Amino acid sequence: MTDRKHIERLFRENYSAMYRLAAILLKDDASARDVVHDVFAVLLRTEMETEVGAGYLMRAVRNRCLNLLRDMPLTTGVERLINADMIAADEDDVLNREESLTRLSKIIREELPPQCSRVMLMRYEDGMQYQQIAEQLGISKVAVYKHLKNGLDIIRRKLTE
Amino acid sequence: MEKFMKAVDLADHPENYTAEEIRLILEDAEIREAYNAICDAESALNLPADPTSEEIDREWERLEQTLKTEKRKGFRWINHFNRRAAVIGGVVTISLVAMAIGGVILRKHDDTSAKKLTIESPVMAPTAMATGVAASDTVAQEEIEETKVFENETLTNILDEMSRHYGFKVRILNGDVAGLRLYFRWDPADDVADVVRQLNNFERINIVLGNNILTVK
Repeated sequence: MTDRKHIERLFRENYSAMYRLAAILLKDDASARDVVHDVFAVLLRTEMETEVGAGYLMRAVRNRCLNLLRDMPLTTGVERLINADMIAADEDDVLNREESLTRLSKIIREELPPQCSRVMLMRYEDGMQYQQIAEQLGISKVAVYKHLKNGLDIIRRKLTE
Repeated sequence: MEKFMKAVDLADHPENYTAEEIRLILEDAEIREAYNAICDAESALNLPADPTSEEIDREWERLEQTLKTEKRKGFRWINHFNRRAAVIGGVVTISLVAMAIGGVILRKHDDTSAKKLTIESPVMAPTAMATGVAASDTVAQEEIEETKVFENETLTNILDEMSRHYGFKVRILNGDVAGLRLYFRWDPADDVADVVRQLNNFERINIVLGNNILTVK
């Protein structure tokens, strides 16, 4: 008999991390919640012979998300700005995706030339259009694109160091 | 700069491109790299917040509700499968009957009399994108039709087909086990870890999943 109390404890202890991983991979809140829901639904229906811990739960989330990404229309993936190589990524890289993105966030905020950082934050955090960014910073739209490209190039170099 | 601008335009205005156009654009390594860098930057600056304790409570309640609803529908599923159950007899085989998403039963048939296969714990799992449980048996019927049924198929061939679907390799360390013939109902929408666990419920089957390889020990 599956120990429901035990599963509930696992649910409450691990829900946040599982949800965050699913949300990062799928870029969609409702889908992320569904994935976590389904992982635990299987646990509650199945008699597990082995101990279930955080590692199993995170791998289950990863696998479900990768299956969804595999079946996702390309247009949907691009609309959500999902990395085109996520499906083929190494298993551990997928599990460590949040850590990687946290590192990337730090680089953008603290390690780029100030103007590059400003442009990226205004575009991807604040959602401003390029023309708006140009006007606010008192530069041309072409300069905005150049700062953006420069920032991404620096990020690539830092991540491959 | 031109390729970078193409990646920017793709990320900013995907509605302007068909799926085929997107596929072709992303075949260019430079554009793909720039596009992925843009995606990662956007993701990094929009990391999801931790759910609140109230949200977690609501999700647990939702889960309990899903399972209650599945249990109520369980009896109707038993009768449905009894009508459709396959009959296996004759040669000694190890048979597996599995709902695509539910419990697993092992039956050993060692005589020539036909035996009906019954499902002891039929439950219906929501799909990964489900927001609720199907409201009628008609939907349940459609769910069954979408699964793949392997009838008296070797474990090797079953894993072979699954490995192509999930993108894994198969490594056989135990030829006897790999040659077992199974009756297995597989839902391709299930994630591979769940399917491996269902197969491993057999006493003789031990499949290990790791590093993109399914190993039959």
